[in-house]
Amino acid sequence: MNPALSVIFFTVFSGAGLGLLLVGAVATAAGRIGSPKAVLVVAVILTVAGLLSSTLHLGQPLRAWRAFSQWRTSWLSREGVAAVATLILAMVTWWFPTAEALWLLLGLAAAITLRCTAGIYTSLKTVPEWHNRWVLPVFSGLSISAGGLLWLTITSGPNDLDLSAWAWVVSGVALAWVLKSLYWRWIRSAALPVSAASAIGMPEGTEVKGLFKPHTETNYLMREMGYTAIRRHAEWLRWVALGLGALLPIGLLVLVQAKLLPIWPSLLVASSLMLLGQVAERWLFFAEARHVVQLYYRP
Amino acid sequence: MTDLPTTTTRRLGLVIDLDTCVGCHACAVSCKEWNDGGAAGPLPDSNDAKPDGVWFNRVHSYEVEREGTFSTLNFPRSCLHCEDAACVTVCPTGASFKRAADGIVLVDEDKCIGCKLCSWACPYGAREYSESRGVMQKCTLCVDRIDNPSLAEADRVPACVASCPADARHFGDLSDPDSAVSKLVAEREGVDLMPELGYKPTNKYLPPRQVPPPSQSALPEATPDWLDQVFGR
Repeated sequence: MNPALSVIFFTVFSGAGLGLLLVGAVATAAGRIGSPKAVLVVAVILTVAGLLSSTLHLGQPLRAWRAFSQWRTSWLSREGVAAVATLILAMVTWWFPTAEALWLLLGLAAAITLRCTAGIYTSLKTVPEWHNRWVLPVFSGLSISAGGLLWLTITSGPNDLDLSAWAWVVSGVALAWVLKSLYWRWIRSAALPVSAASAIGMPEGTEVKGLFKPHTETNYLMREMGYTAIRRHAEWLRWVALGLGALLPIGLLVLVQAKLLPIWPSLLVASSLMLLGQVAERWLFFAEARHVVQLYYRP
Repeated sequence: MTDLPTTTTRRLGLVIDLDTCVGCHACAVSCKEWNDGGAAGPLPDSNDAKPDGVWFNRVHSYEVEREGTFSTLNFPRSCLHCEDAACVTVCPTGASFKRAADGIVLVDEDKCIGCKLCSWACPYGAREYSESRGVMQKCTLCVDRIDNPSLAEADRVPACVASCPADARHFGDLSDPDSAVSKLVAEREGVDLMPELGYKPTNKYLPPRQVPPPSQSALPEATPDWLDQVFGR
Protein backbone atom coordinates (compact mmCIF):
# COMPACT_ATOMS: atom_id res chain seq x y z
CA MET A 1 0.00 0.00 0.00
CA ASN A 2 1.12 3.52 -0.76
CA PRO A 3 2.61 5.09 2.40
CA ALA A 4 0.86 8.49 2.31
CA LEU A 5 2.69 10.91 4.63
CA SER A 6 -0.52 12.63 5.72
CA VAL A 7 -1.97 9.37 7.05
CA ILE A 8 1.35 8.36 8.65
CA PHE A 9 1.56 11.67 10.56
CA PHE A 10 -2.11 11.44 11.44
CA THR A 11 -1.92 7.98 13.01
CA VAL A 12 1.36 8.72 14.86
CA PHE A 13 0.50 12.16 16.25
CA SER A 14 -3.21 11.62 16.95
CA GLY A 15 -2.26 8.24 18.41
CA ALA A 16 0.28 9.86 20.77
CA GLY A 17 -2.16 12.65 21.74
CA LEU A 18 -4.94 10.18 22.51
CA GLY A 19 -2.46 7.93 24.33
CA LEU A 20 -1.46 10.92 26.45
CA LEU A 21 -5.11 11.55 27.42
CA LEU A 22 -5.50 7.87 28.30
CA VAL A 23 -2.36 7.89 30.46
CA GLY A 24 -3.50 11.17 32.04
CA ALA A 25 -6.79 9.51 32.98
CA VAL A 26 -5.06 6.46 34.47
CA ALA A 27 -2.61 8.69 36.37
CA THR A 28 -5.49 10.78 37.73
CA ALA A 29 -7.28 7.63 38.87
CA ALA A 30 -4.03 6.54 40.55
CA GLY A 31 -3.92 9.84 42.43
CA ARG A 32 -1.11 11.43 40.44
CA ILE A 33 -2.86 14.22 38.68
CA GLY A 34 0.44 15.93 37.74
CA SER A 35 -0.07 19.04 35.63
CA PRO A 36 -3.48 18.39 34.05
CA LYS A 37 -3.72 21.57 31.99
CA ALA A 38 -0.31 21.05 30.36
CA VAL A 39 -1.27 17.44 29.60
CA LEU A 40 -4.52 18.64 27.98
CA VAL A 41 -2.79 21.29 25.86
CA VAL A 42 -0.12 18.93 24.49
CA ALA A 43 -2.64 16.13 23.88
CA VAL A 44 -5.09 18.38 22.06
CA ILE A 45 -2.37 19.97 19.91
CA LEU A 46 -1.06 16.54 18.85
CA THR A 47 -4.54 15.13 18.19
CA VAL A 48 -5.74 18.16 16.24
CA ALA A 49 -2.49 18.35 14.22
CA GLY A 50 -2.97 14.69 13.33
CA LEU A 51 -6.61 15.16 12.37
CA LEU A 52 -5.78 18.18 10.21
CA SER A 53 -2.98 16.22 8.55
CA SER A 54 -5.45 13.42 7.76
CA THR A 55 -7.64 15.84 5.79
CA LEU A 56 -4.65 16.59 3.51
CA HIS A 57 -5.01 13.24 1.74
CA LEU A 58 -8.67 13.88 0.97
CA GLY A 59 -9.67 14.81 -2.56
CA GLN A 60 -12.39 17.13 -1.24
CA PRO A 61 -11.31 18.24 2.28
CA LEU A 62 -14.08 20.85 2.57
CA ARG A 63 -16.64 18.06 2.59
CA ALA A 64 -14.92 16.29 5.50
CA TRP A 65 -17.88 17.08 7.79
CA ARG A 66 -19.89 14.47 5.91
CA ALA A 67 -17.61 11.80 7.39
CA PHE A 68 -19.44 12.05 10.75
CA SER A 69 -22.63 10.56 9.32
CA GLN A 70 -22.01 6.84 8.70
CA TRP A 71 -20.93 5.65 12.16
CA ARG A 72 -23.34 2.71 11.93
CA THR A 73 -21.18 0.84 9.41
CA SER A 74 -17.88 2.69 8.89
CA TRP A 75 -14.90 2.58 11.26
CA LEU A 76 -13.57 5.74 9.64
CA SER A 77 -16.78 7.57 10.43
CA ARG A 78 -16.80 6.18 13.99
CA GLU A 79 -13.25 7.39 14.42
CA GLY A 80 -14.24 10.89 13.34
CA VAL A 81 -17.18 10.98 15.76
CA ALA A 82 -15.10 9.55 18.64
CA ALA A 83 -12.21 11.97 17.98
CA VAL A 84 -14.48 15.01 18.02
CA ALA A 85 -16.25 13.76 21.18
CA THR A 86 -12.82 13.32 22.83
CA LEU A 87 -11.79 16.85 21.87
CA ILE A 88 -15.04 18.32 23.23
CA LEU A 89 -14.54 16.40 26.50
CA ALA A 90 -10.96 17.69 26.64
CA MET A 91 -12.24 21.26 26.35
CA VAL A 92 -14.75 20.68 29.16
CA THR A 93 -11.96 19.16 31.28
CA TRP A 94 -9.94 22.37 30.77
CA TRP A 95 -12.46 24.16 33.04
CA PHE A 96 -12.48 21.36 35.65
CA PRO A 97 -8.92 20.04 35.42
CA THR A 98 -9.03 18.13 38.69
CA ALA A 99 -12.41 16.42 38.20
CA GLU A 100 -11.57 12.71 38.35
CA ALA A 101 -14.85 11.60 36.74
CA LEU A 102 -14.25 13.86 33.74
CA TRP A 103 -10.74 12.49 33.30
CA LEU A 104 -12.09 8.93 33.36
CA LEU A 105 -14.63 9.80 30.65
CA LEU A 106 -11.88 11.47 28.65
CA GLY A 107 -9.65 8.41 28.95
CA LEU A 108 -12.52 6.18 27.84
CA ALA A 109 -13.25 8.42 24.82
CA ALA A 110 -9.55 8.40 23.85
CA ALA A 111 -9.44 4.59 24.14
CA ILE A 112 -12.54 4.26 21.95
CA THR A 113 -11.00 6.56 19.33
CA LEU A 114 -7.79 4.48 19.25
CA ARG A 115 -9.88 1.34 18.84
CA CYS A 116 -11.77 2.91 15.92
CA THR A 117 -8.52 3.92 14.16
CA ALA A 118 -7.25 0.36 14.43
CA GLY A 119 -10.65 -0.87 13.21
CA ILE A 120 -10.23 0.96 9.89
CA TYR A 121 -7.24 -1.27 9.14
CA THR A 122 -8.22 -4.54 10.83
CA SER A 123 -11.58 -4.61 9.04
CA LEU A 124 -9.99 -4.77 5.56
CA LYS A 125 -10.00 -8.42 4.47
CA THR A 126 -8.11 -7.38 1.34
CA VAL A 127 -4.82 -6.69 3.21
CA PRO A 128 -3.44 -9.62 5.26
CA GLU A 129 -0.83 -7.42 7.02
CA TRP A 130 -3.72 -5.37 8.46
CA HIS A 131 -6.53 -7.91 8.85
CA ASN A 132 -5.11 -9.76 11.86
CA ARG A 133 -5.20 -9.76 15.65
CA TRP A 134 -1.79 -8.07 16.03
CA VAL A 135 -2.72 -4.67 14.64
CA LEU A 136 -5.02 -3.51 17.45
CA PRO A 137 -2.65 -4.34 20.38
CA VAL A 138 0.40 -3.01 18.51
CA PHE A 139 -1.24 0.27 17.52
CA SER A 140 -2.74 0.77 20.99
CA GLY A 141 0.56 -0.19 22.66
CA LEU A 142 2.62 2.25 20.58
CA SER A 143 0.11 5.08 21.08
CA ILE A 144 -0.25 4.54 24.83
CA SER A 145 3.49 4.15 25.41
CA ALA A 146 4.13 7.35 23.42
CA GLY A 147 1.49 9.00 25.60
CA GLY A 148 3.22 7.63 28.69
CA LEU A 149 6.60 9.08 27.75
CA LEU A 150 5.00 12.43 26.91
CA TRP A 151 3.16 12.36 30.25
CA LEU A 152 6.43 11.71 32.10
CA THR A 153 8.10 14.55 30.17
CA ILE A 154 5.31 17.00 31.01
CA THR A 155 4.83 16.11 34.66
CA SER A 156 8.45 15.61 35.76
CA GLY A 157 10.06 18.58 37.44
CA PRO A 158 13.64 19.65 36.69
CA ASN A 159 14.88 17.71 39.72
CA ASP A 160 12.23 15.17 40.44
CA LEU A 161 11.49 12.01 38.51
CA ASP A 162 8.91 9.67 39.96
CA LEU A 163 10.50 6.20 40.07
CA SER A 164 7.29 4.18 39.71
CA ALA A 165 6.04 6.33 36.80
CA TRP A 166 9.48 5.95 35.20
CA ALA A 167 9.28 2.16 35.59
CA TRP A 168 5.79 2.04 34.03
CA VAL A 169 6.92 4.07 31.03
CA VAL A 170 10.07 2.00 30.42
CA SER A 171 8.15 -1.27 30.60
CA GLY A 172 5.30 0.15 28.50
CA VAL A 173 7.65 1.23 25.69
CA ALA A 174 9.48 -2.10 25.83
CA LEU A 175 6.23 -4.10 25.75
CA ALA A 176 4.82 -2.13 22.79
CA TRP A 177 7.95 -2.75 20.71
CA VAL A 178 8.13 -6.42 21.70
CA LEU A 179 4.58 -6.72 20.31
CA LYS A 180 5.66 -4.84 17.18
CA SER A 181 8.62 -7.21 16.70
CA LEU A 182 6.30 -10.19 17.07
CA TYR A 183 4.05 -8.61 14.42
CA TRP A 184 7.04 -8.23 12.08
CA ARG A 185 7.88 -11.89 12.66
CA TRP A 186 4.29 -12.89 12.01
CA ILE A 187 3.89 -11.01 8.70
CA ARG A 188 6.81 -12.95 7.22
CA SER A 189 4.52 -15.94 6.94
CA ALA A 190 1.30 -14.00 6.22
CA ALA A 191 -0.17 -15.05 2.88
CA LEU A 192 -2.70 -13.32 0.65
CA PRO A 193 -6.13 -14.80 1.47
CA VAL A 194 -6.79 -15.81 -2.16
CA SER A 195 -4.81 -17.17 -5.11
CA ALA A 196 -4.34 -15.66 -8.56
CA ALA A 197 -6.42 -18.54 -9.95
CA SER A 198 -9.35 -17.64 -7.69
CA ALA A 199 -9.00 -13.96 -8.66
CA ILE A 200 -9.76 -14.80 -12.30
CA GLY A 201 -12.33 -17.51 -11.59
CA MET A 202 -10.14 -20.49 -12.52
CA PRO A 203 -10.00 -23.68 -10.44
CA GLU A 204 -7.34 -23.95 -7.71
CA GLY A 205 -4.06 -25.28 -9.01
CA THR A 206 -4.22 -23.30 -12.25
CA GLU A 207 -0.91 -21.58 -12.95
CA VAL A 208 -1.42 -17.94 -13.95
CA LYS A 209 1.18 -15.75 -15.68
CA GLY A 210 0.76 -12.21 -16.91
CA LEU A 211 0.76 -11.91 -20.69
CA PHE A 212 -0.37 -8.34 -21.46
CA LYS A 213 -1.17 -5.56 -19.03
CA PRO A 214 -4.42 -3.68 -19.57
CA HIS A 215 -2.60 -0.38 -19.99
CA THR A 216 0.91 0.77 -20.86
CA GLU A 217 1.14 3.57 -18.28
CA THR A 218 0.64 3.28 -14.55
CA ASN A 219 -2.75 3.90 -12.95
CA TYR A 220 -4.34 4.66 -9.58
CA LEU A 221 -4.56 0.99 -8.58
CA MET A 222 -0.87 0.35 -9.24
CA ARG A 223 0.23 3.51 -7.40
CA GLU A 224 -2.08 3.12 -4.40
CA MET A 225 -2.33 -0.66 -3.97
CA GLY A 226 0.71 -1.85 -5.92
CA TYR A 227 3.32 -0.26 -3.67
CA THR A 228 5.58 -2.73 -1.87
CA ALA A 229 8.73 -1.87 0.03
CA ILE A 230 11.96 -3.42 -1.19
CA ARG A 231 12.79 -6.14 1.33
CA ARG A 232 16.31 -5.01 2.14
CA HIS A 233 15.18 -1.41 2.62
CA ALA A 234 12.42 -2.65 4.90
CA GLU A 235 14.85 -4.68 7.04
CA TRP A 236 17.07 -1.64 7.42
CA LEU A 237 14.17 0.65 8.25
CA ARG A 238 12.91 -1.75 10.92
CA TRP A 239 16.17 -1.25 12.80
CA VAL A 240 15.86 2.53 12.40
CA ALA A 241 12.30 2.37 13.76
CA LEU A 242 13.27 0.12 16.66
CA GLY A 243 16.35 2.20 17.48
CA LEU A 244 14.61 5.58 17.39
CA GLY A 245 11.30 4.36 18.79
CA ALA A 246 12.51 2.14 21.62
CA LEU A 247 16.26 1.60 22.16
CA LEU A 248 17.43 5.24 22.25
CA PRO A 249 14.49 6.52 24.35
CA ILE A 250 14.90 3.66 26.85
CA GLY A 251 18.66 4.29 26.94
CA LEU A 252 18.06 7.98 27.68
CA LEU A 253 15.52 7.09 30.37
CA VAL A 254 18.03 4.77 32.05
CA LEU A 255 20.76 7.44 31.96
CA VAL A 256 18.33 9.98 33.41
CA GLN A 257 17.42 7.60 36.23
CA ALA A 258 21.13 7.05 36.88
CA LYS A 259 21.39 10.86 37.19
CA LEU A 260 23.93 10.99 34.36
CA LEU A 261 21.79 13.28 32.23
CA PRO A 262 19.55 16.27 33.09
CA ILE A 263 15.90 15.22 33.38
CA TRP A 264 13.89 17.64 31.32
CA PRO A 265 15.96 18.06 28.12
CA SER A 266 16.66 14.33 27.98
CA LEU A 267 12.99 13.42 28.29
CA LEU A 268 12.12 15.90 25.54
CA VAL A 269 14.74 14.37 23.25
CA ALA A 270 13.54 10.85 24.12
CA SER A 271 9.92 11.80 23.28
CA SER A 272 10.90 13.33 19.94
CA LEU A 273 13.05 10.34 18.97
CA MET A 274 10.21 8.00 19.88
CA LEU A 275 7.73 9.86 17.64
CA LEU A 276 10.28 9.81 14.79
CA GLY A 277 10.73 6.07 15.29
CA GLN A 278 6.97 5.62 15.15
CA VAL A 279 6.85 7.58 11.87
CA ALA A 280 9.35 5.07 10.41
CA GLU A 281 7.34 2.20 11.89
CA ARG A 282 4.11 3.55 10.40
CA TRP A 283 5.73 4.05 6.99
CA LEU A 284 6.56 0.34 7.05
CA PHE A 285 3.05 -0.53 8.22
CA PHE A 286 1.78 0.85 4.92
CA ALA A 287 4.70 0.02 2.63
CA GLU A 288 4.86 -3.64 3.70
CA ALA A 289 1.12 -4.19 3.37
CA ARG A 290 0.07 -6.13 0.28
CA HIS A 291 -3.35 -5.72 -1.29
CA VAL A 292 -5.23 -8.57 -2.98
CA VAL A 293 -5.70 -6.49 -6.15
CA GLN A 294 -1.94 -6.93 -6.82
CA LEU A 295 -2.88 -10.46 -7.98
CA TYR A 296 -4.35 -8.99 -11.16
CA TYR A 297 -1.20 -7.05 -12.03
CA ARG A 298 1.47 -9.46 -10.71
CA PRO A 299 -0.19 -12.89 -10.66
CA MET B 1 -26.91 5.39 4.37
CA THR B 2 -24.12 2.93 3.88
CA ASP B 3 -26.14 0.12 5.46
CA LEU B 4 -26.60 -2.49 2.76
CA PRO B 5 -30.16 -3.30 1.70
CA THR B 6 -31.20 -6.67 3.18
CA THR B 7 -32.76 -7.69 -0.11
CA THR B 8 -32.82 -6.12 -3.54
CA THR B 9 -35.85 -6.50 -5.82
CA ARG B 10 -33.64 -7.30 -8.80
CA ARG B 11 -29.92 -8.11 -9.05
CA LEU B 12 -28.75 -6.50 -12.26
CA GLY B 13 -25.32 -7.51 -13.41
CA LEU B 14 -23.08 -8.83 -16.12
CA VAL B 15 -22.17 -12.32 -17.21
CA ILE B 16 -18.76 -12.38 -18.89
CA ASP B 17 -17.79 -15.30 -21.09
CA LEU B 18 -14.06 -15.99 -20.72
CA ASP B 19 -14.33 -18.61 -23.44
CA THR B 20 -15.27 -16.17 -26.19
CA CYS B 21 -13.58 -12.97 -24.98
CA VAL B 22 -10.91 -12.11 -27.54
CA GLY B 23 -9.25 -9.37 -25.47
CA CYS B 24 -9.97 -6.58 -27.96
CA HIS B 25 -10.61 -3.91 -25.27
CA ALA B 26 -13.73 -2.72 -27.12
CA CYS B 27 -15.71 -2.90 -23.86
CA ALA B 28 -13.14 -0.75 -22.05
CA VAL B 29 -12.97 1.81 -24.84
CA SER B 30 -16.71 2.08 -25.38
CA CYS B 31 -17.19 2.38 -21.60
CA LYS B 32 -14.70 5.23 -21.52
CA GLU B 33 -16.38 6.83 -24.53
CA TRP B 34 -19.90 6.60 -23.09
CA ASN B 35 -18.86 7.85 -19.67
CA ASP B 36 -16.64 10.63 -20.97
CA GLY B 37 -17.35 13.81 -22.84
CA GLY B 38 -14.10 15.77 -22.94
CA ALA B 39 -12.82 17.78 -19.98
CA ALA B 40 -16.34 18.59 -18.74
CA GLY B 41 -17.40 14.96 -18.80
CA PRO B 42 -17.41 12.77 -15.75
CA LEU B 43 -14.19 10.92 -16.62
CA PRO B 44 -11.57 13.46 -17.65
CA ASP B 45 -7.98 12.31 -18.19
CA SER B 46 -4.96 14.17 -16.93
CA ASN B 47 -1.39 14.56 -18.18
CA ASP B 48 -1.09 14.38 -21.98
CA ALA B 49 2.46 12.99 -22.06
CA LYS B 50 1.77 10.16 -19.61
CA PRO B 51 -1.96 9.65 -19.96
CA ASP B 52 -3.58 8.88 -16.64
CA GLY B 53 -7.25 8.66 -15.95
CA VAL B 54 -10.08 6.60 -14.59
CA TRP B 55 -11.29 3.57 -16.52
CA PHE B 56 -14.18 1.47 -15.24
CA ASN B 57 -13.11 -1.50 -17.25
CA ARG B 58 -9.63 -3.00 -17.61
CA VAL B 59 -8.83 -6.01 -19.80
CA HIS B 60 -5.95 -8.22 -18.64
CA SER B 61 -4.46 -11.08 -20.64
CA TYR B 62 -2.96 -14.08 -18.90
CA GLU B 63 -1.31 -17.33 -19.82
CA VAL B 64 -2.97 -20.08 -17.80
CA GLU B 65 -1.76 -23.63 -17.35
CA ARG B 66 -4.23 -26.34 -16.38
CA GLU B 67 -3.30 -30.01 -16.27
CA GLY B 68 -0.47 -29.49 -18.72
CA THR B 69 -2.54 -27.47 -21.18
CA PHE B 70 -1.55 -23.85 -21.80
CA SER B 71 -3.99 -21.25 -23.04
CA THR B 72 -4.46 -17.52 -23.28
CA LEU B 73 -7.13 -16.06 -21.05
CA ASN B 74 -8.45 -12.58 -21.72
CA PHE B 75 -9.95 -11.21 -18.56
CA PRO B 76 -12.11 -8.07 -18.46
CA ARG B 77 -12.22 -6.67 -14.92
CA SER B 78 -14.89 -4.25 -13.70
CA CYS B 79 -17.19 -3.70 -10.71
CA LEU B 80 -19.05 -6.89 -9.74
CA HIS B 81 -21.85 -5.05 -7.85
CA CYS B 82 -21.42 -7.34 -4.82
CA GLU B 83 -24.33 -8.28 -2.60
CA ASP B 84 -22.11 -7.81 0.45
CA ALA B 85 -20.26 -4.77 -0.83
CA ALA B 86 -17.52 -3.81 1.66
CA CYS B 87 -16.76 -0.67 -0.38
CA VAL B 88 -20.19 0.65 0.64
CA THR B 89 -20.08 -0.16 4.35
CA VAL B 90 -16.61 1.40 4.88
CA CYS B 91 -17.66 4.71 3.30
CA PRO B 92 -17.71 7.39 6.02
CA THR B 93 -19.91 9.88 4.17
CA GLY B 94 -22.76 7.90 2.65
CA ALA B 95 -21.51 8.78 -0.86
CA SER B 96 -21.29 5.05 -1.66
CA PHE B 97 -24.55 3.17 -1.74
CA LYS B 98 -26.23 0.08 -3.11
CA ARG B 99 -29.64 0.57 -4.70
CA ALA B 100 -32.37 -1.54 -3.11
CA ALA B 101 -34.31 -1.68 -6.40
CA ASP B 102 -31.66 -3.33 -8.57
CA GLY B 103 -28.54 -3.86 -6.47
CA ILE B 104 -26.36 -1.45 -8.48
CA VAL B 105 -23.47 -0.01 -6.41
CA LEU B 106 -22.96 3.71 -7.06
CA VAL B 107 -20.95 6.69 -5.81
CA ASP B 108 -22.64 10.05 -5.28
CA GLU B 109 -19.76 12.19 -6.53
CA ASP B 110 -21.21 15.30 -4.86
CA LYS B 111 -20.85 13.72 -1.43
CA CYS B 112 -17.56 11.81 -1.85
CA ILE B 113 -14.64 13.32 0.09
CA GLY B 114 -12.01 11.27 -1.77
CA CYS B 115 -10.66 9.40 1.29
CA LYS B 116 -9.98 6.32 -0.91
CA LEU B 117 -10.94 3.84 1.81
CA CYS B 118 -13.53 2.15 -0.48
CA SER B 119 -10.80 1.36 -2.99
CA TRP B 120 -8.79 -0.28 -0.19
CA ALA B 121 -11.81 -2.40 0.75
CA CYS B 122 -12.44 -3.68 -2.79
CA PRO B 123 -10.39 -6.78 -3.73
CA TYR B 124 -11.33 -6.48 -7.41
CA GLY B 125 -9.80 -3.07 -8.09
CA ALA B 126 -13.17 -1.81 -9.28
CA ARG B 127 -12.84 1.69 -7.88
CA GLU B 128 -10.43 4.25 -9.22
CA TYR B 129 -9.72 7.68 -7.79
CA SER B 130 -9.95 10.66 -10.12
CA GLU B 131 -7.02 13.01 -9.53
CA SER B 132 -8.73 15.73 -11.52
CA ARG B 133 -12.04 15.57 -9.66
CA GLY B 134 -10.83 14.55 -6.20
CA VAL B 135 -13.47 11.85 -5.89
CA MET B 136 -13.77 8.08 -6.29
CA GLN B 137 -15.37 6.75 -9.46
CA LYS B 138 -16.67 3.35 -10.50
CA CYS B 139 -18.76 1.39 -13.00
CA THR B 140 -22.41 2.50 -12.88
CA LEU B 141 -23.64 -0.42 -14.98
CA CYS B 142 -24.59 2.46 -17.29
CA VAL B 143 -27.58 3.56 -15.21
CA ASP B 144 -28.01 6.35 -17.76
CA ARG B 145 -28.53 3.78 -20.53
CA ILE B 146 -30.38 0.84 -18.98
CA ASP B 147 -33.29 2.97 -17.70
CA ASN B 148 -33.20 5.54 -20.47
CA PRO B 149 -36.56 5.73 -22.29
CA SER B 150 -35.06 7.91 -25.02
CA LEU B 151 -32.93 4.99 -26.20
CA ALA B 152 -34.26 2.19 -28.36
CA GLU B 153 -35.12 -0.93 -26.35
CA ALA B 154 -32.14 -2.84 -27.79
CA ASP B 155 -29.73 -0.11 -26.69
CA ARG B 156 -30.80 -0.18 -23.04
CA VAL B 157 -27.79 -2.24 -22.02
CA PRO B 158 -24.42 -1.12 -20.65
CA ALA B 159 -22.08 0.31 -23.30
CA CYS B 160 -19.59 -2.55 -22.79
CA VAL B 161 -22.29 -5.12 -23.57
CA ALA B 162 -23.52 -3.22 -26.63
CA SER B 163 -20.02 -2.97 -28.09
CA CYS B 164 -18.68 -6.48 -27.48
CA PRO B 165 -17.96 -7.95 -30.96
CA ALA B 166 -17.53 -11.48 -29.57
CA ASP B 167 -20.86 -11.51 -27.70
CA ALA B 168 -18.85 -12.29 -24.56
CA ARG B 169 -20.75 -9.86 -22.33
CA HIS B 170 -24.36 -10.35 -21.25
CA PHE B 171 -26.54 -8.10 -19.12
CA GLY B 172 -29.62 -9.05 -17.12
CA ASP B 173 -31.31 -9.81 -13.81
CA LEU B 174 -29.40 -12.51 -11.96
CA SER B 175 -32.07 -12.81 -9.24
CA ASP B 176 -34.56 -14.22 -11.75
CA PRO B 177 -33.75 -17.90 -12.38
CA ASP B 178 -35.60 -17.74 -15.72
CA SER B 179 -33.67 -14.80 -17.14
CA ALA B 180 -31.35 -15.43 -20.08
CA VAL B 181 -28.27 -14.57 -18.00
CA SER B 182 -29.26 -16.91 -15.14
CA LYS B 183 -29.83 -19.75 -17.61
CA LEU B 184 -26.45 -19.06 -19.19
CA VAL B 185 -24.77 -19.18 -15.77
CA ALA B 186 -26.53 -22.46 -14.93
CA GLU B 187 -25.69 -24.05 -18.28
CA ARG B 188 -22.04 -22.97 -18.37
CA GLU B 189 -21.40 -23.28 -14.60
CA GLY B 190 -20.59 -19.62 -14.11
CA VAL B 191 -18.34 -18.74 -11.18
CA ASP B 192 -17.73 -15.94 -8.68
CA LEU B 193 -14.33 -14.26 -8.42
CA MET B 194 -12.58 -14.78 -5.04
CA PRO B 195 -15.66 -16.40 -3.43
CA GLU B 196 -13.55 -17.08 -0.29
CA LEU B 197 -13.67 -13.40 0.65
CA GLY B 198 -17.45 -13.56 0.97
CA TYR B 199 -18.48 -10.37 -0.86
CA LYS B 200 -21.01 -12.35 -2.98
CA PRO B 201 -20.42 -10.69 -6.34
CA THR B 202 -23.44 -10.34 -8.64
CA ASN B 203 -21.45 -10.53 -11.89
CA LYS B 204 -20.54 -14.04 -12.98
CA TYR B 205 -17.71 -15.29 -15.18
CA LEU B 206 -18.18 -18.25 -17.53
CA PRO B 207 -15.01 -20.37 -17.47
CA PRO B 208 -13.26 -21.22 -20.74
CA ARG B 209 -14.33 -24.56 -22.21
CA GLN B 210 -11.68 -27.23 -21.70
CA VAL B 211 -10.25 -28.22 -25.07
CA PRO B 212 -9.00 -31.82 -24.91
CA PRO B 213 -5.29 -32.10 -25.74
CA PRO B 214 -4.78 -33.36 -29.33
CA SER B 215 -4.58 -37.13 -29.36
CA GLN B 216 -1.37 -38.73 -30.60
CA SER B 217 -3.04 -40.30 -33.67
CA ALA B 218 -4.41 -36.95 -34.81
CA LEU B 219 -0.93 -35.49 -35.10
CA PRO B 220 0.70 -35.53 -38.55
CA GLU B 221 3.43 -38.10 -39.14
CA ALA B 222 6.80 -36.97 -37.91
CA THR B 223 9.16 -35.80 -40.64
CA PRO B 224 11.13 -38.79 -42.01
CA ASP B 225 14.70 -38.94 -40.74
CA TRP B 226 16.25 -38.82 -44.22
CA LEU B 227 14.49 -35.51 -44.94
CA ASP B 228 15.96 -34.03 -41.76
CA GLN B 229 19.39 -35.23 -42.78
CA VAL B 230 19.09 -33.79 -46.30
CA PHE B 231 18.20 -30.39 -44.96
CA GLY B 232 20.76 -30.56 -42.18
CA ARG B 233 18.38 -30.32 -39.24
